[in-house]
Amino acid sequence: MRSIESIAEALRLLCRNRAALVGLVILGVYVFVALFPWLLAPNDPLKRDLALRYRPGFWAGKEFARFPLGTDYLGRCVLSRILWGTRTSLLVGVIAVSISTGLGMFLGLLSGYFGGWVDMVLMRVVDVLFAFPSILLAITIMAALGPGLEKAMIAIGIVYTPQMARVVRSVTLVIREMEFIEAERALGASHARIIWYHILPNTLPPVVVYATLGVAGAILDAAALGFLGLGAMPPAPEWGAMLSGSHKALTSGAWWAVAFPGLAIMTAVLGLNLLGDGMRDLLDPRLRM
Amino acid sequence: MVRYVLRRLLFTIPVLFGVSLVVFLVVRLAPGDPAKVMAGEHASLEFIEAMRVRWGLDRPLYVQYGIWLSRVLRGDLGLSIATKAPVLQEVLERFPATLELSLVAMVFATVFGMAAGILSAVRQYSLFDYLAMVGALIGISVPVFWLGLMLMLFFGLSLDLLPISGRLDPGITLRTITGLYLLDALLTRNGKAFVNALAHLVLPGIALGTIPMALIARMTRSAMLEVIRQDFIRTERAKGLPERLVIYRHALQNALIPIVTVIGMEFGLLLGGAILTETIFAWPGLGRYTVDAVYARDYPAIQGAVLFIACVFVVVNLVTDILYAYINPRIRYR
Repeated sequence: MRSIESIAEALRLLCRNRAALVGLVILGVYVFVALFPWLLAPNDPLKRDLALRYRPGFWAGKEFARFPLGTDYLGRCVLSRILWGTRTSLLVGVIAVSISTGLGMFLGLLSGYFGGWVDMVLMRVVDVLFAFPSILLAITIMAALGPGLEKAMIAIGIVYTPQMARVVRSVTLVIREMEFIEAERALGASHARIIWYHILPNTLPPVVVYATLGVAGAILDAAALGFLGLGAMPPAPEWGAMLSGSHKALTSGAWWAVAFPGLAIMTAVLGLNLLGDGMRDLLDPRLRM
Repeated sequence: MVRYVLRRLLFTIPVLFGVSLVVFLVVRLAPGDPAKVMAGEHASLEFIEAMRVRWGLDRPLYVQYGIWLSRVLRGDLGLSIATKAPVLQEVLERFPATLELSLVAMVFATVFGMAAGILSAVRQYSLFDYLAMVGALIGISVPVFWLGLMLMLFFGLSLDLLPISGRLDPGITLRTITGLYLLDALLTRNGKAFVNALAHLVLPGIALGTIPMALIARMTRSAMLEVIRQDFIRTERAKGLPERLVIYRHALQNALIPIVTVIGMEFGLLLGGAILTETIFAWPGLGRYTVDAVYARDYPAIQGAVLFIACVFVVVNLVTDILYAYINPRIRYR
């Protein structure tokens, strides 16, 4: 019961932060679209008709209302593909970040709690992963695994693991030294019990913040991989993949096939960043940007 | 300070070993016979066997790593499958293009990011502050490749103001000395090439520089706000120092520490962003080389390029850390 109250309290505080509220609303809209794309999409996202390629959207006049945001190089409805792509992009973001959060928390808790050589070894591994720019590491992993959406999720999950491990480790280092942990130990609690019941819950607030910001980064990276042709495979509707082959669309004057998928990515990432920033302010006002 | 630098240098060695191990394992994780992977799909049987012998691919894994590492340390990154040329040579040929683009993007990001951040902090909660921070938030949320495409659409295709691909127009000749075209044009007093190279740098530079610019603006603002609230600034104002001096001499100097750190970190990240920017603007740099190598499954080229970029990244981070310790003496004694 108490946890429900504290979640409600946190939400109430979050809603007072206007930026975070905007982020929450944007995210809510995206989640709704991801859950019910068929309610909103005017057309079949996969249906192609070469006779209708690169048709402009509603701005060109009433007779173009059938494809509100125009069509792409295969005559597919851009709006419907964006709406269905929401599902893919959010899913990639959430799964990739779940991987990095699970791995990162595991490594961070072990490293921070036990210290010594465990910490030494794990943190050197983290240092090595930090030695690659994130998209380069993702591309490198994709080069080894081969293209595909599932592999992109794994690659991005690995890329974001070191950051999460460091965050969890730094919180663990602080909690470990607190008196109530010492009291637990004096009572004979096992390491596993102390970590699971006392340290892990205390690491959750920063983990939630970094996971939220991580989903934003993961969506961007997944879109980048899709754009490079290494992520989602055609004809699946995915925001990044919709942008690969943009050069052709741009030189054909079909700006709508490029502009709108990018706007969808940007708005989603913006919403997550707003929410993440808001939560961070709530947890630690000193970090306010 | 010397001790700090030495210690920091020593820390870099295991990281570089780790990096080499990751790059080495990429080929081993790739599906198929590693000798075939290194020789390319269409290689002859003899060539595949030659690869097996050359890289010791029939020996245990740790021996293979040893052979590979000792060759890499001697500058042998193998031959590109696509071009049959030494990978190190190809990587070095392309690096100046990436370096030039990154430097231009960084200058753009630093100048505009710091200016926006300072103005925002000085006029906190003003309309400018509000717009700048909303802009910065959009800046960190925009996909870099999409921004590049949009810039290309507006300034390249619709308005036809700026070139959208390559580093120079085909008709322009330039004797290359350093590989940084702006510098080469200056050295050879070639005004026409300088203007042309600069025009080619504008759009990719803005695309690549926007995210760092947004981050620098945010960091500058928050660092400045923190300093401005401190007592010594109030003292400066109380003793009648002009506001301009208070802000630019005293406040900014103290706010620089976190700003420099962010700039250093961002410069390293630019190398990642360059991969996408170069792909869009047909920029003949390392990023595009890496992507092309991935498309062609040219594993020696992938290994070489990734290893090179990661090493540059590590060095940039090292320099940032040392610079940070230099301007912030507290860090040295930890």
